[in-house]
Amino acid sequence: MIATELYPVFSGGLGRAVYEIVKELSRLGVDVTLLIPEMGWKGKLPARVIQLPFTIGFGVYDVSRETYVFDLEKKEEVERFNSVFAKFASQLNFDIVHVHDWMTVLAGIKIKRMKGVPLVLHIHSTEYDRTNNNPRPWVVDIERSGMMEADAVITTSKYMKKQLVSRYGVNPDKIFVAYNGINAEMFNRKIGGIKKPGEKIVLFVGRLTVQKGAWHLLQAAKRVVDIDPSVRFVIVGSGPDFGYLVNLAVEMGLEKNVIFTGRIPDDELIAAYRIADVFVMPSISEPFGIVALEAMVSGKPVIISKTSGVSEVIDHCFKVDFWDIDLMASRILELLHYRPLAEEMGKNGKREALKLGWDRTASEIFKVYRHVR
Amino acid sequence: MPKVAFCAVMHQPWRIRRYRFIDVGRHLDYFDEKLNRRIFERVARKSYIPALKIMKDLAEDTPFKINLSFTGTFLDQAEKYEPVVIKLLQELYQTGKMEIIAETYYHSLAFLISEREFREEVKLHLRKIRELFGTRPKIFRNTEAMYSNEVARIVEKMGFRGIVTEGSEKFLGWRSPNWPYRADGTNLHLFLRNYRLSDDIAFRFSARSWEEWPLTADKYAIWLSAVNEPHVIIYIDFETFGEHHWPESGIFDFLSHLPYEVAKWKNVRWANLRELLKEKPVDSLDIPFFVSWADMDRDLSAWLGNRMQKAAFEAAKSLEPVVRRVNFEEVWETWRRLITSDHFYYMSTKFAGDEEVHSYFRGEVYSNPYEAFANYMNILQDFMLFLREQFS
Repeated sequence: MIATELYPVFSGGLGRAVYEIVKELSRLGVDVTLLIPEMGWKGKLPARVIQLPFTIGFGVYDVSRETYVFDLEKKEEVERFNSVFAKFASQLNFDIVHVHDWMTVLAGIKIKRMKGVPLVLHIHSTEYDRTNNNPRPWVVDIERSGMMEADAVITTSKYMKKQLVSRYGVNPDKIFVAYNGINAEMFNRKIGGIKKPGEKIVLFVGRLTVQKGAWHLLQAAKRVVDIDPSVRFVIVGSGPDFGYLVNLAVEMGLEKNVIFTGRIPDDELIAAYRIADVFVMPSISEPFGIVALEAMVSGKPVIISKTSGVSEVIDHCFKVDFWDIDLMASRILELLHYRPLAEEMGKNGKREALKLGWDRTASEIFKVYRHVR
Repeated sequence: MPKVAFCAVMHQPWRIRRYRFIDVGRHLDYFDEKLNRRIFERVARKSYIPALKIMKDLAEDTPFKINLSFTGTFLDQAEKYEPVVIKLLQELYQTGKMEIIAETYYHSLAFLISEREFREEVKLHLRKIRELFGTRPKIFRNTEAMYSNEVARIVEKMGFRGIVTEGSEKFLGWRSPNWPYRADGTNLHLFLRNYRLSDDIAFRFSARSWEEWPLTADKYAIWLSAVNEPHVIIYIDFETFGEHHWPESGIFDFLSHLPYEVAKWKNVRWANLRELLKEKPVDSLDIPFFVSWADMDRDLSAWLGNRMQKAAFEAAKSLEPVVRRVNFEEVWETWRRLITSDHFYYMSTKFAGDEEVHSYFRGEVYSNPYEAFANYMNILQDFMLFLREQFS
């Protein structure tokens, strides 16, 4: 298996998914060797994790910015580090090569050809998702070639599968859905948060990019605050739109009601879930949406957009169209004002989300392995 | 020598429209005219019209007898959307083979609100039946067969001779539902639904995983004839025919063949419920708690099982004195449509086996119980504001 991100160095969706998948696959008895770039990873996994030092010219990992110094904007760089992965892999013995997202596609293809092993490509998001439909053509080309070459494509939802078929022309028969899961243990920890009595908190967690829909949440916030000025919106996360959204909130007169925390450590995130009254995931396009499950296992009622993978696996929540600002505002107000509603949804949602462990994900992946071998 | 009382209930609620929190105070319409019309027209076409025609033929050509109850909200919608359904009911009644069982007008939880409200709804229903059929039912069935000693006591005071509820083991214990009983502390006949034989048709008829599938009329007739007890009371949703089970399932063939198959067994006789009043009760049944025919629990939990349901019901209930004081026809009509049990049924969060049935009925209106609750509460809040603005 090859990936560019791994928890806890990377706490975003991909890094966490790779970590949990490797852990659960190992439990199923799969002998996993995971290749990642040198990132100072010191975590624990019941598998061989090999960090390849990318020598000068390939880039190093910058923990504070959670990004590579090497430029994922440059095709040549991407080709080069993929060659390093492929070259290292050529000395190993294995039955299947499993790569994650476009960054490691080229290595996957090379290895498949060199070793004659089946290629499994795991798509957690596409270039269209990441760029709000302004994809870099060369990245799309890499994604497409990977999907064509792969013996099986795994993705995070039927919603994604549809996109892979319509946008990339992949044969639907070789696309398999393995929904992401939730590691509930982590959110069981009792970490207190500070909250004034009577204060009502609406929480958002995600990168501040167009496709996560924070703009729409701010529009809804305006309508909510007009009716109930005591509501606070806590926006957790950073991203390219950070400055724009902060300014927008001020322009809308929401400076007292919206708090931008930027990126926060896990402990604080757990506390944020604990003090929240309502969690909103207003994504325009969400391949899965693990944050919704995190809020649910924390016992919180959630509002999620219909254009998300997670909406396919949960029922004990409100589902809205991200563009339906009035409905989003109404749903927030309902959950804040009708206590039995928030209590029932929180209780039943937790019960529902607790069933969605990563073991389920891994066993779906295992089925795909058996299918391609 | 079982007498078979074949009973069915016809009901449609006034479903409420999508009402957003931000629209509370705007006093928009509460009821979803389009949805109610669409559903009624569909059920009439698929179920009411064809099934009533078959029943009329059977009543004319065979010894078949039927017992029907229908809610006031059903009759009102039929008059508004498909008057032919009323005409067919009247024609069936003219055959002399159909008995009418009384219900609450609004298929409501009125009994849990106040005795006064309950009595008034039943009276409204009796008046409506007199207008349409010129008769007064002798036997009563409360909303969804909800029952307790207290219900029987009040129903007797209203002049009824018998009452129907679920034949549940909770109070029957080892006893059979197929015997005549008396409601404790009254002279009312207590008629108990045989839920196994009823659910064989109502729930299991099209279940391919059921070992008895496919259920045929001759097989069912054998089962009826095998009952070596005084009577069998089958009570099902009328919509079982053609709506819950589609025509393709063979449900209409089952219905039209059943009387001919039953005729082959000399020991089985069709009966109207009033004929069973002649039977002498063998025991009196003391039922101090509520039972109903809904869900596996057979109690009130289908409507009042979770916090949302309780909160919504309490909020609606709390309006009774206000509505009574206002005493304005349209306000009565709105409030009573809102205490219809279906609204609370949609809010159930039961898991496991019951969830399937709840979501079947909820499905056309809401995608989950939370939507049902929020929508209902928004309308109730708006209604409260309206009452305060207009009448205080």
